[in-house]
Amino acid sequence: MNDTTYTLPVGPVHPALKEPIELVLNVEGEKIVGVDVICSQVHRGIEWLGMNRNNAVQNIYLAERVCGICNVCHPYCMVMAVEDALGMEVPERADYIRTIVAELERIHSHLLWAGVAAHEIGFDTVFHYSWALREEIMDTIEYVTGNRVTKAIMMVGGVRRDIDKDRRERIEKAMDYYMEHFHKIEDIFLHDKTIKMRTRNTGILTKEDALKLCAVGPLARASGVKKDVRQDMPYGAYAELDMRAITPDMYTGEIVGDVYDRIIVRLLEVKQSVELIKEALENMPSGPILSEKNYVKLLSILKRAEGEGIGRVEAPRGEDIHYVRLEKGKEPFLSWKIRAPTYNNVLPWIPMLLGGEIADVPIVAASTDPCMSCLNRVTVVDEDKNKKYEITKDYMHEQSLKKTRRLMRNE
Amino acid sequence: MVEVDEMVKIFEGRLNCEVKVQSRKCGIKKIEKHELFVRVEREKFMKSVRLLFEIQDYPHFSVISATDFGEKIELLYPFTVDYGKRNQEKLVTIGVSLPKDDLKIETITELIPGAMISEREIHEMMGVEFIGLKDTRHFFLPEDWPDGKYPWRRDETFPEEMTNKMYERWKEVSRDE
Repeated sequence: MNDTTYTLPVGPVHPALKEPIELVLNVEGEKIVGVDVICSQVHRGIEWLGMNRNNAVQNIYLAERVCGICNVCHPYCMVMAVEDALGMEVPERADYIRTIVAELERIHSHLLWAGVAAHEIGFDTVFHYSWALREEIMDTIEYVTGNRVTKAIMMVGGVRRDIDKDRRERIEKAMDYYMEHFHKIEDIFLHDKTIKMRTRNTGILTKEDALKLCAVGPLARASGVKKDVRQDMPYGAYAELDMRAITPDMYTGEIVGDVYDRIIVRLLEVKQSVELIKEALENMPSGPILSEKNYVKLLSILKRAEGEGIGRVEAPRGEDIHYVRLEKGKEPFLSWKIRAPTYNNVLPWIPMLLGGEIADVPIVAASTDPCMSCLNRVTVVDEDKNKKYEITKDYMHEQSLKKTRRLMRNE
Repeated sequence: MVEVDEMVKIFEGRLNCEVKVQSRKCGIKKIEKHELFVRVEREKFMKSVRLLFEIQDYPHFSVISATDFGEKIELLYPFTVDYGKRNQEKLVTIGVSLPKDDLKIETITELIPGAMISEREIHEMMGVEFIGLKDTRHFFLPEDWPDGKYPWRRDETFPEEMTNKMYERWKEVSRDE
């Protein structure tokens, strides 16, 4: 580190999304020359609670609260791990319902992300437009599961609520709505000059780095790694649906691995989800939705069971994996390990930010769709004078806006 | 690309260990997916990880899970290989048991840099030492966390005094009033 290098802590409450993570940047002027990531501000000990306090069924609802946005994939993953340990089979109809609910969640998550990304580069009209579009899916989710956020639909051995004729019609209506509006979102995000200027060649993650740092989800796919659990190791109904991993070369013919490519992947995935839901609704078999209806009996099966299992689900942000170990005569899990996608997507921030500018930090950080970060406060430490300046989130946001305007002027 | 049966043979032959295969069916067509659990001795651990590199250039590392069995601690490393092809991916979980009085294992960060966060997590939560891990700062626990206290252990090193017993506090408050 030389005389002109400054340390710039971003966070613990980060500028991109409203969750805590700390980035320590070494900057030379505007250029980022060193990056360190510090987490730990929101470790809630959920795994510990699952291993010491709750029984397996209570853990489903705890898993739902790991993340507000991925509130289907975590319980889905956990029940799959438990079923794997028990050797329990799930009725076909339940597999389809799980798949449909998981895809509904992906649409809402990607649209939410699209709004946040637009906000980060100062394009607030698009932010409001994306979130207005998202309302339709939230209303559908509420109609189908009874709740907008924590859906409480998963159960060991199946699902808790059926998709009847009424609910099916509601989903079909929502899917038509998205097919109608898709070309407009596509036009805004992929053909707009401002968005392209700010995202093309920004925050590049090479394929090699993505593989070495074990990146997952749209982040890895945007760098050309065709990795998608739904395709590679299908669960639920995915094995019977037309599912393939989406990479940006399907749209532009090339893979750059920048923020723009991540936008392409997520938008195409929204369209893909709509198609998957339609296909799943058509092929949905009839039959029971739970393999063990008696709750007391289920609890006693769980208490007597011994074994281990792994559940893997492709969450909107990437691969989610849960490991569960059951011990005989013990209600809480003997061992429970949750690996959310952001866990693997934090390290790729380092190569993505290196060599970039401070004004790009919000959009690059947001482009990974981090599940636990956002910015509120930045302290700039001037090492020579030993003075501290506090920079607010608003200042950072303003810098980002200025860059957009500067680029537009030079155009 | 290697089939599941072949893979079991490779692991059994090269590492001289038992491989457990767990299968699961899903959907109408009941397509099966397989999970391999390979439990090896500590000396053979690095060899088993390198074996995965022979199967694929970059085996995907997920996370390390740790279980406290009293006398020993078991670490599980789930890897996936053959990803990117429809229905071809295999999940290979490498397990290794460490005795409590000698909690040491080699780091895999030199082969897979992405394992750093996971190794730091197990280091702070379980007290396992990763030989060769350069960065051993706390990741999830606060910087001022006391030494020798491990929240995921089931023995005397568990920080009992730090658990928040809500019901006890409730009584205290009502008595004061």
